[in-house]
Amino acid sequence: MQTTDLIERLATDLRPTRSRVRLLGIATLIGAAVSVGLLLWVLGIRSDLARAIFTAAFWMKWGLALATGVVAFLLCVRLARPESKPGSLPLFLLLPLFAFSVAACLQLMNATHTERWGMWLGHSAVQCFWCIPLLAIPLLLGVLWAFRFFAPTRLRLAGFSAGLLAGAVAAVIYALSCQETSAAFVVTWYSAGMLFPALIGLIIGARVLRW
Amino acid sequence: MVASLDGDAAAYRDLLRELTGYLRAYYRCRVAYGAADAEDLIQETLIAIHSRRSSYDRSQPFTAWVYAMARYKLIDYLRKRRVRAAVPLDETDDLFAADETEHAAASQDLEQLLADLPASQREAIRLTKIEGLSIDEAALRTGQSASATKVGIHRGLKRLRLLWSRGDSDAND
Repeated sequence: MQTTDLIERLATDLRPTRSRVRLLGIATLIGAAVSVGLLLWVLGIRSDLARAIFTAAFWMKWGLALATGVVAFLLCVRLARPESKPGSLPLFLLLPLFAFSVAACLQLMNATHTERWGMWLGHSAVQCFWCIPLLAIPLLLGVLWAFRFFAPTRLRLAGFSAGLLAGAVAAVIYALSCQETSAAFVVTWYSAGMLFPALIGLIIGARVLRW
Repeated sequence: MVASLDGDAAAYRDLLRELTGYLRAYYRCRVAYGAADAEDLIQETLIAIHSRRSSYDRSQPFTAWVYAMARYKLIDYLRKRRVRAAVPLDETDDLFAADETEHAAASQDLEQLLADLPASQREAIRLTKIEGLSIDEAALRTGQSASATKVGIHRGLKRLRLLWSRGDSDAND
C-alpha cells in the first residue's frame, strides 16, 4: 500500500481521543467492578464492615494498598509515553512500606513472645496471599487492555507497574473481606499479594505489551 | 497534533504528511536495505502513531514523542532482522552525516518556549545562547547596556526553567 493511501485511511478513521489518565482510570474501574463481583461471589464481605470501617486496622490495609495503588497508577501513566523515564517515582513505593513496617515492628515489640507468631501469620495468611492475586486478574487484564492505546518503550517496567496497580486495587477490595488486625500481617501478606501480580506483569510485559 | 487529538481530520492529514517527510529522512539513513524497508517502517510508525495517539501528552514536546515512537519501531526492526552494525571504519563518514531533522524539530519546540518570554529577554537569550555572541556584542546589537542584557538573560533563563518544570509536573498528574 502507498503511504499516501495509508494516510488517507488513517485520517478518515480519526476520532477524538481520550487522555491517558481517563483511559487507565476507566480500565481500572471496570476491572475493579469485576473483582468486587468475584469477591462477593466467593468470599463475601465481612459481616461487621460497618463497624470495622472505623478501626485503625482497616485503614492500615487501605492505607498501604491505596498508597501503593496511587504510585503505581502514576507510574503507569508516565510509562505509557514512549519518551518517558520512570525517574524517582518507584522510590515512593518504599515510603508506605517503610512506614507500615515500622508500625509493625513497634506492635510486635509490645507483644509477648507467644503472641508474635499469631500476629504475623494471622488466621488467613495463605488465603490472603492467594486471593489478592486472583482478584487482581480482571484488573490486570483491564490495565493491559488500556496499554493497547499507549506506547510503552520500557516493557518490563510497564508490565510491573500494571501488575502492581492491579494488585494494589485488588488488595483494597480484599480488605473488605479480611478480618486480620495486626500490622505485621498486613505489611507481609498484603505486600506479598500485591507483589505477586506485579512480578507476573514484569515477566509477561515484554511479550504482551509489544507493539 | 492537539487539533488531531480532538478529531480534526484535515489537520491530522496535514500532520501525517509532514511527519512522513521527517520519518523518511530518519529511516533512510538508518536502515541498510534501502528504500523499501524504510517505507515499511514509515507506514508501521504512522499506524502506531495513529493507534497509540492516546500516549501523547499535550503538555510535552511533540517531536520528542514522535522520535521516541520512530526509535522504538527502528529497534524492533533491527532486532527482528538481527542486523548488527558492520561498517568498515573508512566509510563511517556516511553514517554520521546529514541528519538535521531531529535538530530542526527540536529547535521548533525551543522557539515555542521562547515565545512565552518578554521580547527583550528573548532577544538577549537568542543572541548570546543560540547565536553565540558575547554579552557586549549582544548589548551593542540590541542597544541595551551590558548589565541590562545580563539581567535579561538571567531572568529569562530562570523563567524558562520555571515554564519547563511546570510543563513537566503537569505531565505527572
